[in-house]
Amino acid sequence: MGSTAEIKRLQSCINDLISVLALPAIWSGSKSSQILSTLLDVLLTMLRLDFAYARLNDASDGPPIEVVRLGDHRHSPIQPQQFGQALDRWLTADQTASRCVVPDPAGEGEVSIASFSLGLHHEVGVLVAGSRRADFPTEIERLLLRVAANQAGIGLQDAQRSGEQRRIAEMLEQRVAERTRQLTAANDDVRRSEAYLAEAQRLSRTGSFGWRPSTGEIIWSEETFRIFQYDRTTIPTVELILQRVHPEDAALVKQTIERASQDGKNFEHEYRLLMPDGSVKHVHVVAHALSNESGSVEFVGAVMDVTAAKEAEDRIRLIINAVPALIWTARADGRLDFISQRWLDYAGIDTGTIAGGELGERTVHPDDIEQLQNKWRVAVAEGNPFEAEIRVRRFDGEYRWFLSRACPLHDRSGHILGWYGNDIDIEDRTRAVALRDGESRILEMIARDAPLEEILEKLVRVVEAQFAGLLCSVLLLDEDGQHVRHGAAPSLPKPYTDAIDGLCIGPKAGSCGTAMYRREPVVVSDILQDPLWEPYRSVAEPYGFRACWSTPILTHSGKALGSFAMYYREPRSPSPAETHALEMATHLAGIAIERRLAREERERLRQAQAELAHINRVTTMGELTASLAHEVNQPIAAALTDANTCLRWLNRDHPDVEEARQSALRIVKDATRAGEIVGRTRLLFRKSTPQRELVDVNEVIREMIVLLRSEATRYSISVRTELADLPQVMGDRVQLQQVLMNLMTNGIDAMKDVDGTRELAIKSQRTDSGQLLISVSDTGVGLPPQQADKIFDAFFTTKPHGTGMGLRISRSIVESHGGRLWAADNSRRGASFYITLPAQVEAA
Amino acid sequence: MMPAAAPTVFVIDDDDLVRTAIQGMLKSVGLRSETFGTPQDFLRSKHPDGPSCLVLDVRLPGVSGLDFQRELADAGVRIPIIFITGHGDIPMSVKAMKSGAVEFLTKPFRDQDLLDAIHQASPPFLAASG
Repeated sequence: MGSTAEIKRLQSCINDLISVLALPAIWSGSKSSQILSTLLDVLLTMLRLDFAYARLNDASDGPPIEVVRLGDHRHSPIQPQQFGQALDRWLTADQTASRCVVPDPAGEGEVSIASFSLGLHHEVGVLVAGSRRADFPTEIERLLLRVAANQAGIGLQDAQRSGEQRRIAEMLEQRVAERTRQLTAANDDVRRSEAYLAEAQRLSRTGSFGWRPSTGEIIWSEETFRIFQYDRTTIPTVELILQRVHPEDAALVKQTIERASQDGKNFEHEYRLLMPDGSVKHVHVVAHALSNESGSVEFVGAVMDVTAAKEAEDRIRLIINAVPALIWTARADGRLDFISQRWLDYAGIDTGTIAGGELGERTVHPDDIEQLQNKWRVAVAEGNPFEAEIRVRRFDGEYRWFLSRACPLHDRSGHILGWYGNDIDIEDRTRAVALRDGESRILEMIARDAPLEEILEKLVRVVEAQFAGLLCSVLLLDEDGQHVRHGAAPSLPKPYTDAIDGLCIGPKAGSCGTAMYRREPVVVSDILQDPLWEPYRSVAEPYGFRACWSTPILTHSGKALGSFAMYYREPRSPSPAETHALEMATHLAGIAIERRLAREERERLRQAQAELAHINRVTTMGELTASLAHEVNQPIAAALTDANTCLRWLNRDHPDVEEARQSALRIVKDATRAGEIVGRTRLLFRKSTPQRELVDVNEVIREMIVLLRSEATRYSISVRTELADLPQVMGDRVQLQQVLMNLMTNGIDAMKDVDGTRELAIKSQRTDSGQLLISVSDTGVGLPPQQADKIFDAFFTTKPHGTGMGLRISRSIVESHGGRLWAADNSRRGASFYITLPAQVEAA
Repeated sequence: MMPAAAPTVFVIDDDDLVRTAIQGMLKSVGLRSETFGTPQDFLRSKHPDGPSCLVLDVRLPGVSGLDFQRELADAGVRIPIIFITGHGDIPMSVKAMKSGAVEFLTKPFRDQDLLDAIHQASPPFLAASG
């Protein structure tokens, strides 16, 4: 081979060297693996190597990058990692640029390898070239490989460095992107919150604001601008606010704002805005004071458009004012804050002239105010429902009774927010109740027959108590129906009632005299004007009487008994309540007077009856004179005989005193009997008022038998008694004696002319119902046929000389004892008379 | 000489005071007597056989003394009767005397009058009352 070959070889070598030196340009911007692949491909081709292997330690401590290239026609399934491991032990020592022979990692036999570090040390990697040629590597090959390794080392370091930078750049970029995303999201939230807030403010008609009094700076939310109807571009100021405030509220708002700016305290106020279009808005402003580090105060607050609520409230007030009740509300502390129009109309005041606190003092009756205030204080303090009955003055000055009630309004947690009160006019009800009570008391007095004067006086007082300033009088009409008599007028001056007493009724006789005359109510609204009073004007005038309404007190048959009158010292006409009271009083007076008249009538009748009963007794006794004389005669005869006997015993030669004493004892008995009979007879003749006492009916029967025995004997009538044990009765002894005597003499009379048995049987017994039953039976002619029911009638008699009053009187006596008297024919012969009497409880 | 049975005065009067008064008076003059409230009681009693007389009240419950006098006569009872009455009247006394009454005394009577009537009715009483 000559120099030509050498030259050629050198030229080829230089070309190769240029190619290797050009590699970095190719590698620029490439990744490490690409650099290695290109390097190995170039070296394998250039040096006709059997294999080339490169390993690059990764900068980020990951697994190394290993690449292997095999020479032409060589194929091996071997992986770069296995290749690396096979070569590894030859590479551990510093084999750089050394040459050694090693087993072929990709086949059989041996192979010469040359290894070079990539970069200054092994930190970057290693390059291994292998060839079966024995001379491998030649100097030139070694040079080429070393240059290539150096170039690759630089390229790889560049690639590594740029990769690192790229990674950092990417990481930064990523972080920026992340941050950007976060910020974007955050901004979205803020934007959303702002939108929400604006929407919420718009919906709730609540704007917000900030205000720094020290600088005058005011910040408004969108809604605040809208509420005040200022353009968003306007710079809000206190002056702008005040421009919008309703003129009537301006002073107060200004004051509030000024005070807040001075004392820097929370404030809250409500006022009206007068909008440019003339409409009115109600706003409620709440502001909280915040202090910043510098010590100056800043207010943050809300402006609420409460127009709708106010309008609703106005509607409620309209409704409340339409309710026919007096309604009011009070704050939790008890101060009135609303009074319905009705209330104000009733009292005749308007809110402008009166503050809530003094309303009570202005309208409630002085006698009730203290009670009212005490109760209200207690209710407010304890939070309990309030109730009081008070008199409230009407616009015309009249006080009327009201039931005042209030209930606390609680929030959910039970705190009292305020009070709702309502006052009900109970005047008519109260009066009706009082009148009814009075009416009951008077009826009670009438029922227990209290003296008429007392009843009428009470009646007058009851009615007078119902109406302030009312004076009443009751006049009675004399029995002649012409003259009036004083009845009751405790409140009228005595000289006046004296003057009225005895006056004549007539068509023009004041209110009362005319009312009694006409028998219809007379209403005189003004005594000084009414012609009816002309004759009596001078009588009434000194006492100031101006109105007098009188109603006649009439009997059922329409006869006038008197009058009830109402007087006032001012001209006026009766209200419905007064008319009602007048009617009631007249009615009650009528009952009382009629009852008194009836009582007097009854008394007269009773006296007449007593008189008649007495005559009946006297008559009966007169008829019995012979029998009574005989009855007295008997003991007298016995006494005479006994007296003679007594003397006889004493007149003996040896007087028998014991026998004489026995005779004398008999005289005593005889005389006693005679005295008794005379006494009983006298009792029956006596005129006495009925007396109630406990009476033993059996005893009365026996007494009457004693009196009538002679009469019975005279007509050969036997008297039989069957007397059971009886309780006593409450009654009049003489009257009961009279009844029994009547029945027994009737029985005797009935038997005088009959043949056969003549027996008068008197029985007494107690019935199952506890009453006493007494029967007087005879065997006489029996009751008059077809006239049995008439025998108790007055003046009915079958006797030639009878008065016809005996049974009539007997029945009235029995009935006045709560009993009954009747008659029936006996089944065989004669008649029986039966008396029932209620038994009296023994203790009575 | 004393009779076999003591003479007895029978007294019928519904008034116990009058009965006991007459009995007491008869006792004071030594005369025996028996008293009855009603004629029925008298009829039911056992009458001694000795001399007797009857002091009879005209008015008796259920039956009059005059009727009883007739009843006794109709029954064949022979006994002198002395009537006593609270309120005698002439027709009644005539009727009684005609029917055989010994005497008709009106209360109050003197006791001697009754004794005389008794003696008149039955002489043995005079001896007894010595």
